Amino acid sequence: MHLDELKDELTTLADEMTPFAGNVEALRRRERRRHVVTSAIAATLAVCLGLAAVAVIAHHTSGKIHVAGVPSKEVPSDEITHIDAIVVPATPEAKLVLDSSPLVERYALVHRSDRSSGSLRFVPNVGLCALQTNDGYAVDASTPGTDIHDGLQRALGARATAYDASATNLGVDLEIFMRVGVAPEYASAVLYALRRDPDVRSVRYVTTTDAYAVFKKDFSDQPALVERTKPSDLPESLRVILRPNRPVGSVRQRYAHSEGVDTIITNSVPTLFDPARSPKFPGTPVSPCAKP
Amino acid sequence: MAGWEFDQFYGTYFDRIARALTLAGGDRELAHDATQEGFARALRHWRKVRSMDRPDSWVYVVAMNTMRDHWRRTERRRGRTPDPAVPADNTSPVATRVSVREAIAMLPPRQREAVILRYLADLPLTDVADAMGCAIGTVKATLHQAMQSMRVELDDTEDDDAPR
Repeated sequence: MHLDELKDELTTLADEMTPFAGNVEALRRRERRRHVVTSAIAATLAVCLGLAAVAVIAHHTSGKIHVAGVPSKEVPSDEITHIDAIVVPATPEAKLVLDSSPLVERYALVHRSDRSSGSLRFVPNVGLCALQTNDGYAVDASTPGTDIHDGLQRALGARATAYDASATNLGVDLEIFMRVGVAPEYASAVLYALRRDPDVRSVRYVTTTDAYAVFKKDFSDQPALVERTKPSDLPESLRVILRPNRPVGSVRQRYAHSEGVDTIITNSVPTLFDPARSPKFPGTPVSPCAKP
Repeated sequence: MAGWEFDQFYGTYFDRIARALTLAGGDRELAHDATQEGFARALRHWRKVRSMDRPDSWVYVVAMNTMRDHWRRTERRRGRTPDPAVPADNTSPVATRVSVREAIAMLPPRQREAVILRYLADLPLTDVADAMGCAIGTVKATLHQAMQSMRVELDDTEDDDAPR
């Protein structure tokens, strides 16, 4: 067979087919719709990019750059009054997570330092140990006094570690410790008064069982100490968060002499940021940090 | 003016291209949609397309690429199974009209695509290569195999890619 015959046969085959009904109007309508949609998307993207650029420039002028559209929640350390979690290490990736997390109200940079002595000895915490070798962030939860570290850890993934500080005195303004072994009614009476106190925003009653659970966790590296200690050896306490700008000193004074109260510890947040300000308590046993 | 020109171009070539693609791919509906897509893109780029020597060639290439994308996505390769109505034996030395038709139907998909684009659509080898997503040398080899299989004699000039 010659090539021309093949071409003829192909033409015949094509001609035998049922004709195709083209619709140029439908094609034009479709293209107009596509044009409208793509123009709208392009306009939206342009607006977003414009806003992002403005936001980046605005923050660049204040010495900070972060992803536009998510305002930074980082504040100076003196604006932090409660710490519910400590995130280590401080990296741009961790910062992005904190800026976008609804769990976080605000946070401040904590410079690495040895905090194993001083008033922070009351809060033996692996987070503080992690701060010996790395800078970190002290995080104030959207709802003060809540345990947000699990949720934060999920958001952070492998980028950083979130340590729970809500169970320490970093997470509250005051912690009122009852005398060991005193009847629970005394703590109930103080709790009753605190709940009616106009300076108090929230109060949490920590039973000896709750306190023992935290104790076991914090001293997990000292099994002998945990072994020797029973829940009844630990005091009950009341963890108090005040309303904004209320005087901690006068509230402390108000409850210092209540029946059954042993000691009242105030918030150690300032000493977290500046360990040099912490009074020293030589000879006091602390939970040592593992060598990095 | 440009709108009228495009409508004329569409009216002249839509049916022709859709038929060729149906023969090449064996799927009438897909050929229709791919051809419509080819013309839609031609409309978007009409200023560029209208200045080409063969605007229809551009639509063939786009439409074939659209069909190939579809096959890749669905992994449903067309024409692998020959039409059961067509006898499988195409080795007779005497090529009648009927046996030519059978031979075309029995070609492997890639060879059939090449034959249709080259000898029905009359595309230059470069455009056939673009439409099939392969090199010109591959197109030539594919066509050569198809011609051998169908026992078609080629001109000496067949390998040239001059407009015909």
